[in-house]
Amino acid sequence: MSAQALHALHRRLRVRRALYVAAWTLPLLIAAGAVLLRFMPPPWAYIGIAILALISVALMVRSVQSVAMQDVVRVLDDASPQLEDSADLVLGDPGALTPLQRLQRERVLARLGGAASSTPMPAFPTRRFVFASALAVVVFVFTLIWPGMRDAADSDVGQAQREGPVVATQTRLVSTRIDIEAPAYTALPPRSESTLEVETAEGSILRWHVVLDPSPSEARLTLHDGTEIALGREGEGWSGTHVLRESTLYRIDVGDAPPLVEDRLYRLDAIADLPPDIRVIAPDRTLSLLEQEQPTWPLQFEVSDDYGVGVARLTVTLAQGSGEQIAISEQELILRGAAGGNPRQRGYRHALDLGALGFASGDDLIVRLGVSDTRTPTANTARSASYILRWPSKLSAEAEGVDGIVQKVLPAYFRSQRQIIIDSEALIAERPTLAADEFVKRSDAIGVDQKILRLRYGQFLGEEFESGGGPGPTASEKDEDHEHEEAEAADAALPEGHSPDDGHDHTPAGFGNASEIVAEYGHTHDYAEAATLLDPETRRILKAALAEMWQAELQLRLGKPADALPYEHRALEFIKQVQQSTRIYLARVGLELPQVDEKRRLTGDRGNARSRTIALAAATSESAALVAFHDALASGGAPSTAGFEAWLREHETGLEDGLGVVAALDAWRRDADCAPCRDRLLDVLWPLLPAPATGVAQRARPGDVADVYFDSLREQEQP
Amino acid sequence: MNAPLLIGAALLAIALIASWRTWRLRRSGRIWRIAAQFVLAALLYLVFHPPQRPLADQMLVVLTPGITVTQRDMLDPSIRTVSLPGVVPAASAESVPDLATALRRYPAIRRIHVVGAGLPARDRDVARSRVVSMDFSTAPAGISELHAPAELKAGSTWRVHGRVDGITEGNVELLDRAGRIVSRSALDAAGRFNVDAAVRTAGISRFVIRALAADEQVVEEMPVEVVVHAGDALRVLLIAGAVDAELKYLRRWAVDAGVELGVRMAISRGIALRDGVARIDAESLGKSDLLIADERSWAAMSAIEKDAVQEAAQQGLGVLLRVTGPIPTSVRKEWEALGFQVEAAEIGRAVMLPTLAAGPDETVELARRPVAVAADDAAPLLVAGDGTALASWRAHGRGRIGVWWLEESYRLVLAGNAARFGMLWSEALRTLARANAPSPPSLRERAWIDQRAVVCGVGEEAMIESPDRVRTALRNDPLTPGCAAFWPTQAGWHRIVEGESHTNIRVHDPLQAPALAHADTVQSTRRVALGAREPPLAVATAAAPRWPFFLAWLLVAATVWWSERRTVAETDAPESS
Repeated sequence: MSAQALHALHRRLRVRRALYVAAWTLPLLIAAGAVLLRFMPPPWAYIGIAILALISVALMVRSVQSVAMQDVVRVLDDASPQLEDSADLVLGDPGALTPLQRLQRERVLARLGGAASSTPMPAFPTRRFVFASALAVVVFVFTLIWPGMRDAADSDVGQAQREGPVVATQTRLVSTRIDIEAPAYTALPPRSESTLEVETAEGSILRWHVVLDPSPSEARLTLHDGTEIALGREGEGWSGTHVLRESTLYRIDVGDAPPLVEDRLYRLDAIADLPPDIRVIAPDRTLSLLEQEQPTWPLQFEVSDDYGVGVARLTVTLAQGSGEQIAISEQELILRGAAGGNPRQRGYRHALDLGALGFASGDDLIVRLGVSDTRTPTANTARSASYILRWPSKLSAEAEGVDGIVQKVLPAYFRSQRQIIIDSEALIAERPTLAADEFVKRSDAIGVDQKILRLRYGQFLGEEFESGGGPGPTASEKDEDHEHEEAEAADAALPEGHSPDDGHDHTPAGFGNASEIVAEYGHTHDYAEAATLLDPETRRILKAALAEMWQAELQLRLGKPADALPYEHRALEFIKQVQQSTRIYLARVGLELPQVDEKRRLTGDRGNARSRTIALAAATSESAALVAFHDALASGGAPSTAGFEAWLREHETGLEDGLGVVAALDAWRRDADCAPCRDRLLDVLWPLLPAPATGVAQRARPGDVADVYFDSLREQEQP
Repeated sequence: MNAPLLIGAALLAIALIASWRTWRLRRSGRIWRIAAQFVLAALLYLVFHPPQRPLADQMLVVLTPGITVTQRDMLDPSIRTVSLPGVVPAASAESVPDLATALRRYPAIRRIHVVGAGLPARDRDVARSRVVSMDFSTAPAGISELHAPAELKAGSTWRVHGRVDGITEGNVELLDRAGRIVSRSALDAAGRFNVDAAVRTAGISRFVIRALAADEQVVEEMPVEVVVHAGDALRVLLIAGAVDAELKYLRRWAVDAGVELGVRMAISRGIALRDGVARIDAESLGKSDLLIADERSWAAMSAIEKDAVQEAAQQGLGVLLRVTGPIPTSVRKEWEALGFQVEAAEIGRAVMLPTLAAGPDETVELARRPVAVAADDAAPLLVAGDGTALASWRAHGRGRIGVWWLEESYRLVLAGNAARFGMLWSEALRTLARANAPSPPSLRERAWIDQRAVVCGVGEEAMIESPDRVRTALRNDPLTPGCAAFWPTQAGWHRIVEGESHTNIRVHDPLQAPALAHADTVQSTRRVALGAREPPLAVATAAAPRWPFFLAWLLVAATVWWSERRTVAETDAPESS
């Protein structure tokens, strides 16, 4: 037997000690690891676990190292009396020993084998192990039931896997992405948002990519208005598409699966494409007067739009002539913006060549710019105000100062008498070349014209339209009792060389329409004296003109245009007189009180007038439901939302941010204990509250001292 | 008997006994020795009770929180300096837990120089009448002064004014709780601003006030909150000689605002339109808070009714006399007896009200009666934009009487500014109506966290409820009855609970409003310093050191002992020799 037994014992002791340390550190290590994984982000948790494991290994190494050979000897000596406390002699160098020691060494060596095998190992640290295990179990259970952290760890896949075995009571949004593709015309680049709330141009295509855990059997998005967007499976997750036409709210609906962790309304804001904004730089006023020697009219516009400016059309209207002879011509020019630059902002310059337009004295030139943007399918269009360039004529200066009450007599109605004279003269000149029938027929046609003209003037005097009687016998059956047909007939019977748009009026459309209505719904039974449109003098002249027309018509219908001419000329004369007093004075209508009953006046008889009670009740606000809900909410209660919801449904469209209110209400209703949700709801309700009538404060009671003071003041006042 | 006298008597007795014994020994020089007994006794007495001597006037520099580096660098090391908690201790300064401790340590201090933001509330009482000079650190940029009413009535417009320090030009915005800018005001040369906003229903209305620099950078943002109550239900009698549009709108506003209105509008002799009870007699007037009458209804009142009105006004009723037309001579004389001389005057009728910072532009032209109202002791009740009065009032016994010659204020309503109309009349009614409301508890000064907050107007049993609903009893101040204090530890709305009634008061957090906290501290320290101009304290004295007396006593005693010993030796030597 040698020292080998001793070394074996040493090794056994060391292993045993290492195992003991491992036995009590391992539960602690597991518990600490569970805590770290539960409450720390994974990399840190793993680092922590590694550090703890190292510490544990270090403890084992230290405990192993702490078992020295002397310890083995001591243990042996303690355990085996037959070694006679001399086990250390085995370790020593036999050569260095005294003979007695050598002898003893031999004896010990002989007994060592049996002693070593029978040496008891150190006791298992039961108390330490039990304590550590109990602590580990407690900590482990604690980490499992601890409620926090779970909600915040939304994108942590690793954690989700660890929690896998636990039955999911809520569905988590593992990842969310919305790809946004704005309409092509906006030229906005496609982008992705990782949130569920987006704000983007209207008409954008939104594509959701949502990964849910646990994955439900079906999923869809439910819009605020009830529309549903089905989500289709896409790999691990779900995807769906929606074209955003207007702002809305939506919720992710997972069907039968456990509810979402954060089941709330998400908001989609559509940014509307606004029509272009036109800024007119020149001219700087709406009405400019032509300056001397001005060959062109410079115009300058600046247009801006949120995405791009489209076509710019300049409408140029030239109103020429005055009085009876106003001709209007309109043309449209397409302006080209300054080349290059920002498509969202364009400048336009254009100089209108007045000479080329035929602009003359007394004319008005009116321009207006219309700009559309690039929006599809329908472009937004904006129009500028109208800008007028006027070449002042001498006549127009007269009306200064009395514009408000004076109106020019409608010149269009007074136009055609001259034409009838021209037609008549032409007919007389043609007479030799025409057949008698033809001549009479054309003369009669002029007569019909004359009749229509007379009837028009007659209307000004309040005459019945039909006062002229039926058309002559030669008139065809087209000329029935109905004026619109007559008007058509007149139109159709225009003499050669006349077209409906030859510069003078044959059938003023507005007039015809008015008479149609009269014809359809009844007759006008005005009497001439009540026609307040004209002053008595004008009316007298007009009446004379009508009489002349009547005679002219008579002659024309009889086929005697030559006889009709003097009447026609006189009628024109009168009409010119009317034209020269080209003003109609409209009477101002004032307050008309009922007549004072003179019989009862100053008699002291008050009839049945009695004192009365006129009770006034406080106004009831239509927002009462809102106010009640707000007040209850503000005072910390949990009011019923029924009344408020009814109110909201009724008013939602009129609110500035109706969707915001709906979303805030929904968030609060889902979790009534959530203080930020309540605050948010109160925030959005505040602007909606109606302003109540200002309340009155009563002054505080001043107290007895003040009463005595005021009473003594009064006694001084009244000695 | 007090200790000095006892000691003195004992010493005297010992000296007398010793003197007597010395006298009996009949030795030479005994007179000197007897004298020495008394000298020794006197010296011993002085050891026990050294004489008081006046102290030299000393200055103490107190470093307070908020001290700046420059201020610290400028300290004079030769002057005794202490630093209060919250100050990084300077090398030359001694740290003390509070000022009282410093003053106990150095009783000679009679003048204090404060350096830093000012004394905290704890140290103010002890520093009273000692602070003579102050070197305040510059205030942090922000709102350093803020005046806002603590309580309002629903629907009224409230005004916040104050001052911003640290920026020369900029703006102040008032935002409502939805984050919308309600009012905006540019800072004037002194940094003052003035913003206003309308509050809505009863409850706590939250606003945020924001100071912006010239480049629109937010300098400071802090919440401003106000408690809004429903209007008081005043009982008002409205009698008029005729109906007019003004009455229509006045009635509408009053009824909506919760005023209990009794109306009698005459439309002919003996015929009137009524709403509620509008009797003019002692009983009815005694129950009412305000009577609104015009010159026509006044003329139609009987002498008994007029006497009843006068008597009721003496007892506290408010009376508002509207001038709506030419005043009959009899009425003029009677109103003169009430203190108002109303004469027709040649003045323009058109008048405008002063503009408010917020709200629509006040371009509404109103009309006034062309009258001149003279009253010696009247105060203006309503002032036009040009500064002329449109109504005035004077005290009449316990009540108040006002004359109102603004006509057609209802045009404000027609112009869409019903709120202004309501403010106009609410203000008039508040001023004139009977003062009968209980006065709620109120804070003496702005309350800050960790500073004693004093509320007045509370009873013995009042409790304070913190924002987390913990109730604590208020400590009553025995010296000022009705006032009590508490020590807030949380910012936010606290409630003073007294039986069934609650009053909300707000505690501020100095971290949320550093400039305001600084300004408040400076202001309070200044107020403490005001006391220094009072007559100085009695000259401070301190006990002279004891050791010179003890040394003198020892010297004298040793001399006497030595001379005694020599005498004994001399006496013995001849005897032995």
